[in-house]
Amino acid sequence: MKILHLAWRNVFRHTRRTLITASAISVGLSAMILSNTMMNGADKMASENIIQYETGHMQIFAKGYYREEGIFPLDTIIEEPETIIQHVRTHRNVAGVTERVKFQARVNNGVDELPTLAYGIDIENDSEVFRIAQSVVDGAFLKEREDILIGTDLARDMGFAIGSYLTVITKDRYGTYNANDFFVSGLINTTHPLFDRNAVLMKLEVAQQLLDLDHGVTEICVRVRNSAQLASAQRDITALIGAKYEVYTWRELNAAIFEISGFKRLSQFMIALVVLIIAAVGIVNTMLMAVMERIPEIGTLKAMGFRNNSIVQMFVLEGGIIGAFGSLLGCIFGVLMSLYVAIQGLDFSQFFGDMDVGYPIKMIIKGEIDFLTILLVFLFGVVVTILVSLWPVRMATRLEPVDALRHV
Amino acid sequence: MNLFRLAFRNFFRNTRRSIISGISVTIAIAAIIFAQSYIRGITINISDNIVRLISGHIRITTQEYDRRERMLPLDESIVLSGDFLENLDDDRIKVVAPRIKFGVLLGDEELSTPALGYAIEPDKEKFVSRLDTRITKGKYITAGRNEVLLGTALAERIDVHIGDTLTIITRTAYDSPTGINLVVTGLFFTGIGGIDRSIFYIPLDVGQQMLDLEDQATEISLVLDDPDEAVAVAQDLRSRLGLIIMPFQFNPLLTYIQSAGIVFSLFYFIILLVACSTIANTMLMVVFERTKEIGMMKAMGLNNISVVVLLVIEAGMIGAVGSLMGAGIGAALSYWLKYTGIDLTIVSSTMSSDMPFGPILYFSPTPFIIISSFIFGLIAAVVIALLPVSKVTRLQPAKALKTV
Amino acid sequence: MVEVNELHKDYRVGKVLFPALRGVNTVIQDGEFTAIAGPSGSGKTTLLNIIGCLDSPTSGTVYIDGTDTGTLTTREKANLRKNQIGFVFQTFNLIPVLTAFENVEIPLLLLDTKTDENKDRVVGILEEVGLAEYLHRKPNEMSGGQQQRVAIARALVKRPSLVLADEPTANLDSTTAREILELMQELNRKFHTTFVFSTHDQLVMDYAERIIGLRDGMIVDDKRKETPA
Repeated sequence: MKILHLAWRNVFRHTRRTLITASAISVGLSAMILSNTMMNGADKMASENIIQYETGHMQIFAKGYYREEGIFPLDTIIEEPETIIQHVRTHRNVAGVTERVKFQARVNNGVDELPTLAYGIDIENDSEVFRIAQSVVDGAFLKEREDILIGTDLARDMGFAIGSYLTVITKDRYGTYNANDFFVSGLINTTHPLFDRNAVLMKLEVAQQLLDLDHGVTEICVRVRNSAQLASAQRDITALIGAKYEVYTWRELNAAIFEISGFKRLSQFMIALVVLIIAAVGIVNTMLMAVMERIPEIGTLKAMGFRNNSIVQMFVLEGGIIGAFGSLLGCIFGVLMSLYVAIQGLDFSQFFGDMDVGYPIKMIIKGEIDFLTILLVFLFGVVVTILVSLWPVRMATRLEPVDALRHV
Repeated sequence: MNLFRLAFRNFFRNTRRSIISGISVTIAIAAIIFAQSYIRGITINISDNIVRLISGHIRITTQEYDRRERMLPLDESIVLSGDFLENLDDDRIKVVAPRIKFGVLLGDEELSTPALGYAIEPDKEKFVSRLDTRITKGKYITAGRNEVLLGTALAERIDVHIGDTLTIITRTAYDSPTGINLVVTGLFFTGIGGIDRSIFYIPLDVGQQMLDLEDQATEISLVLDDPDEAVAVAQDLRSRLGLIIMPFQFNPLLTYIQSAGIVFSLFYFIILLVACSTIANTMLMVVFERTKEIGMMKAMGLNNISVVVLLVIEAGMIGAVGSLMGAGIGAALSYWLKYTGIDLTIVSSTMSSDMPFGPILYFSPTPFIIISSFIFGLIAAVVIALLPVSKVTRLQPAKALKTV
Repeated sequence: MVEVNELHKDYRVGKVLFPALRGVNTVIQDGEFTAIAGPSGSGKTTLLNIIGCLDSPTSGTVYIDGTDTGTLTTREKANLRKNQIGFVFQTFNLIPVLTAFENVEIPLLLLDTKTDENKDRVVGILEEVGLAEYLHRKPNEMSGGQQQRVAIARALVKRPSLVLADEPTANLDSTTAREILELMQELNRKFHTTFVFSTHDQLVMDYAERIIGLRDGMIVDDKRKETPA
């Protein structure tokens, strides 16, 4: 108790030194927190984009359909989706189910042609899982047979507006080329760049007809109530629908994206770590000075019967208090900067423009603050300072009381 | 001169403290050199990939092609007439490599994969993409023959092998359907996922015939003897030709990387500030514990400036020792990674062809980076030390002497 | 109280052995007010440090209350200092960040006594040394004499049987020194605490009951006064 009191007083012997040391730590920690916020934000936006537009939480395929990202074969499809959908709906964690047909198609505006990814969506159920209907910024959602929705970026690139006429060219499941005319009924603007650039959406029945699929679909998309229990829902549903089908989570379908994210996370963390290591050297220096200038005092305390343990405790507490103070300061700064990033967002679009950087987010990153990480970062800061102050403090204990007293 | 000797001795008064204060700077400078070499390595890697695989040192297209590039408009081609080629007659230009880029859906009935075809002049392309050195299986393509060179991942994806026939169906520049049977003669590997996954090469003359573009190309890549002249050469060509002439330096991705480099300077600044805070602390203590001594020196007639200079030299020595060690460590690490490189295949294989990054990243330190970082560390140490040190000028000799 | 037998202490300075004590024998009784006198370098401080278990002898034995301190572990020595010995230093050695009250409280904290009891004892001893008004001053807000009074209070607050004072008046002017000595004498009589000083100050010797003269590490003189001043 008294040792803490003594350590506390010692912290304020050289207020300026304490402040400088603590702010060095705070810079390291706030950098860590900010980098974490940004990465979380980017990951969360990417995840949401994938879940809300591309895959939902889970996708059910016919066994053998999913080979790798970017391949959409029509040879292994779900022929009778209705029974599966009914089965899946019985699971208590399932919030919504819808079926889709996804296929490669070329869109022609009469002059130019672009490869796109086309979706046949069930207009009754799509909103149970996806946010397409809410993303229509101009015109209307799908209604008629010849209606088609396209992304705003694709519309800009190919010069489409509401009511424009376009041709969709694709091969059906038997390899025969098929062309169909559509009218743009609505433009969608999502937060998913690839979707806005590459996607065209039509009614499910139209796509099935175009591809000669009868009632077949390529995938059944599932939204769950509680995404924390996604893995157990995946197991349950796999068991429920039998071995002819496979269930993938959105994360499994996008492993590569999160691999890149892990790499970026690591490199950002390394930068923050370097700052923290430098700050830790500052702590060593400060504690070394504290020990050196107080050697006669240590002698006095020892003469009074203080044990080495108590003296170590006293200095380590002193280092710990400086560390805790710096960490607290760092957390406050970090959270303030993170809040700015979370509320305002950081606009990277000037840097990237329209570029595809292999990550499904638009270049305005909204940070996502994770308070558990902040707590961990705080503890990390305190533990690091305590550990690094042990070294100079051990010197203090090795001194014999007589030598310590004699030291000038 | 005497001040230097005195400062030198003061440095060794508390050697351990001097060294620890210096270590912060060491780590900071090493990290800064490392980061700069890393960023420069990335820039060189990407610009090299852009030059090699995408545009050459300068790319020439029509204005309309540039605008509608995503659609790959074959009607926006450049006629390779004698007049036109004469305009490219410049000593600084080493190779003129015309290309046609066209989109197709590849693969059999069930598996169709969008892919990007490049019709190239095989001999000239050796100087641009060094494609002939990237072949992992089979051999390079020959002009005039119906041969195709596929990216390894693309071949795997559509399941074709050396010797197989690949049918390509697309549309000509006049929008009529066209097709050709090609023999797969070779597979290439660049290590960049987006390219290996989606690109194939055919001879230019074969492509011109198929696409109805005789003596035409959609883009022209120029290779220069000196890449640094690209901007100037582009400037000259622009005055002669009414076309879009893009030196690789203006590639948006490179511009982005360069802006990121500027953002990194902020990080260097912060890292150094944190490092120098240790020196500031040490100097604070030096002033504190030598108050009496400084009073005595003042009493002996040393003026304020000399006292400050003395202390700043001491801080400068700490900074110099720290900075020098940092420069040594940073240079050693960076040069090591310059020669060994870091294998980024895992990362680069997942990237799109818009991010031509990889497959092996070589750090790229330069003497300039190392020397400037060293000086940067030294100056920062001196400037930061001035803050606590300036306090001594306010010290009254009599008072200072009394301090215990 | 203290019994010293054939005490030798050599210091090694480089390759040269420097003998600080060369066979010291003496017995100090309970409640004595003893000065160890001698010029600087005569071994006074070394002797005090060895008696106080801060230093160990090259040879010879020291008994404190019948215990051979040479047989004690570091920990037991610390306990002995904690419970039985109080120190007063030439340079006072107060903890600068703590107030007078807090400085005096430290030894009690080591003894695990009750907090409310502690407070009374600390205030009591500070009143005893005449610093009732200065409880919450920090060392740098007090004069040298006041600081030494705090140091004496700190040495005495745990009621040790032995107080070792190394040149307690060397940093004080003569008036203050006299006050401090009178205070220690008074406390010696009141609490029956054994006091051992080292000094080369005539003033201190005037107050001592017994003066042990030390020169070149040997006792050259041992005088008792019938009626000290």
